[in-house]
Amino acid sequence: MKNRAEQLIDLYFFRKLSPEEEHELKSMLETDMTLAQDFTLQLQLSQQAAAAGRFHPLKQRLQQLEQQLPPENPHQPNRLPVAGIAATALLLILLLGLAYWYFSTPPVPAPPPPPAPANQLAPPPQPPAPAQEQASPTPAPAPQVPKAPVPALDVDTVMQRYFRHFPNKVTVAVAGVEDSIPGAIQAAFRDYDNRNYRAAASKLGSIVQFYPTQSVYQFYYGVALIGDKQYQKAIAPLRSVSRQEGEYRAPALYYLALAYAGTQQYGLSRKTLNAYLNDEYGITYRKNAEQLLVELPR
Amino acid sequence: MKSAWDDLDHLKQHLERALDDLYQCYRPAFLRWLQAEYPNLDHHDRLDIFQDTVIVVWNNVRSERLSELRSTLWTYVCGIGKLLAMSKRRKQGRVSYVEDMTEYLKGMDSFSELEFMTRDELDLIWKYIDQLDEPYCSVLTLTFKYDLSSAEIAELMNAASAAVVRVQRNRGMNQLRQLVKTQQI
Repeated sequence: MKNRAEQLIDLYFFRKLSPEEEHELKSMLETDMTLAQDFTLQLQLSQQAAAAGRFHPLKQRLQQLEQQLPPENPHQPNRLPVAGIAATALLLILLLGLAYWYFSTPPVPAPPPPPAPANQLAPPPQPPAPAQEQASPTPAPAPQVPKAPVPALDVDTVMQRYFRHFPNKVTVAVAGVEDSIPGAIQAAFRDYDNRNYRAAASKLGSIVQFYPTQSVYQFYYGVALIGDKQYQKAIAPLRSVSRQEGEYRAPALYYLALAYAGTQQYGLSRKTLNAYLNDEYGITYRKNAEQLLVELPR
Repeated sequence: MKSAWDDLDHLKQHLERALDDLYQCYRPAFLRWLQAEYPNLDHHDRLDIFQDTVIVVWNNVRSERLSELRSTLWTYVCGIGKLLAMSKRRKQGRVSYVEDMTEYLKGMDSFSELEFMTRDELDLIWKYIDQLDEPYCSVLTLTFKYDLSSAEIAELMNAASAAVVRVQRNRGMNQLRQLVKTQQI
């Protein structure tokens, strides 16, 4: 009986009581005054929880430490200087590598390459051939080694395993806030919340055109497109968000990697997953990203 | 984010200074991450969650409930922080839920003898909770401050099961009652 009451109280605080269980709890409370008094105290402690930790020795120690730290603007926290230094060093290494490649490659007249489509990344530069081969006036044709076909992933299975509905943080029901959000956005996110990704993607596509600078809508547009299996179309908005600073940058990397995987661009998918894993905010989907990296064909 | 504290043996050997070091080491990145993931939480809440997270981690190491890391310590810290942040947000959305039950209790004739504490008395009770031994202090704090279920607390504190947490909560409440009785609130 007591255990049952404890279970019900546990469920109550976790808000998992069914109407029948709530009725059961109330009946128990009516017949057991001690239980009712205890539960009343627990309810009041929950309501008055702001006082929690005020007298905790460890909490006091951390609060003292907090006061000794230099002040910061909580809305615009400074980036870690280490990250800046690392980025600069990386850029320098890249530049040096490019310079080395440029000066060590003899100019070879070649027909101009056909213009690449604007939305396609340029292929990575090929490493320079060994000097001996370049010096030879009539190089022997390289033996044709047939490339092993890259096994394609079953996209549906991949998406089933790795696509996660990203929680709606835009029209989250906060009293008084929802009213100020335009109806079209509310309608789009209603579809999104209901996992009706096709309708959501269609509506979010229009919203993105209205608010081209708002990366949040581009992000959800991209996620909805993936939900609707329009992987190729999802790449552009997600790539755009992943290149901007903001709270959606890291998750956009994860979803962009999914979009690349969906279009069988496994190299880019792997690269994007690594970028997500190296991102300091790349936490939520970390396990999924690590697992998908293992599964992507090389 | 790798750090020297990923080595738990090293952490245990320097447990005293680890609390302050962990706090300073993870604070900037943790607060930025929390701001990005939970924009509805204000700075005060984020700081509160971070401090509670560090305390949970530190207590888990000290009590040897955490004896092995499957990831970096940073990932572990974020896992705990995420659960606390989600619970905090969940709790913010259910204020009326608890109030409804309180009103129900107050409104019932059979409950006329129930004693409701004043705000000052509740402050005092929280002071007693903060002074309880571990794990009772943590279990009661996580239960009432974050409205975490026994199963969630078990996960957070690396306890064997939800039933173990329920026993610890009962013992904690008994200790608390004793304190209240001796102090005659």
